[in-house]
Amino acid sequence: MAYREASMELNQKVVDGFRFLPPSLKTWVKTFIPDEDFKDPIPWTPMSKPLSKVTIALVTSAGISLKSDPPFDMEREKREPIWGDRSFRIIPKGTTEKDIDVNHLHINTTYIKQDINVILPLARMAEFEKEGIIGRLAPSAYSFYGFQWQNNDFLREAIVPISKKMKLEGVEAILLTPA
Amino acid sequence: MGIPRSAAIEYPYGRPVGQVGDKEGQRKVLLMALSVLEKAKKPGEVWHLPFTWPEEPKKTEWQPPEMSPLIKFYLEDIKKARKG
Repeated sequence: MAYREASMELNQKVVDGFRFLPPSLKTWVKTFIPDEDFKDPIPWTPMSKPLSKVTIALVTSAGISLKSDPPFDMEREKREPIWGDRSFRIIPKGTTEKDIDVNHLHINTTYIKQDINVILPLARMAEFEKEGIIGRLAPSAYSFYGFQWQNNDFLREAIVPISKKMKLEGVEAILLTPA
Repeated sequence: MGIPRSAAIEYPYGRPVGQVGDKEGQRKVLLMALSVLEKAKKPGEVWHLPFTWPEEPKKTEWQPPEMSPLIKFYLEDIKKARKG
């Protein structure tokens, strides 16, 4: 996996991507996902301006939904263990842990419900915007459910509409926090 | 999947930005993760962030309350792989 790449700066820490993963999931990954580097072309857009001028959107696969929206479908996944809800939710700027539900069968969701910023750092990014560290935090953040296999339906149903909205909102960079 | 730029962090699954209520810690992680946008020069670069989680893995309670459907489904294969 890519985590093997050497540390590049600051110190020599090399992150062990398995250290804080549940042991059974670690075994599953090592058994069923080939340990090989990604060989296909990787999309690349160079940064054309400094961070302090860039509009950034947050995206997470943590299964966060607004209490006013339908939650992600956990019941079907319980019946079909290799199916994951492929819908997405818009999480507006300013949303806090009080406004959300979190549904995800692979993590302990308690912490996100206590502080949304542990995975969708809307409050921290709003501080950075105010301080001029980033240009702008986009009006919308996005959550989907991170249990997607190579899945064209997911690309069509979630990623295409998300990218269209990002374009409308002038998004230039994205921070994706996976779960 | 090919990821344009990665900031790898050795934090528990489900809390990549930091601990509950730790504003300063979350800021530090994010500032360094965002700096990768400016520092990475080619697709696929992985920058390893130097942060250390303050608890041992066994004490972090990352597990969902119930075993995930995937793990249940593959439990026998997982047990076999562990023995092997």
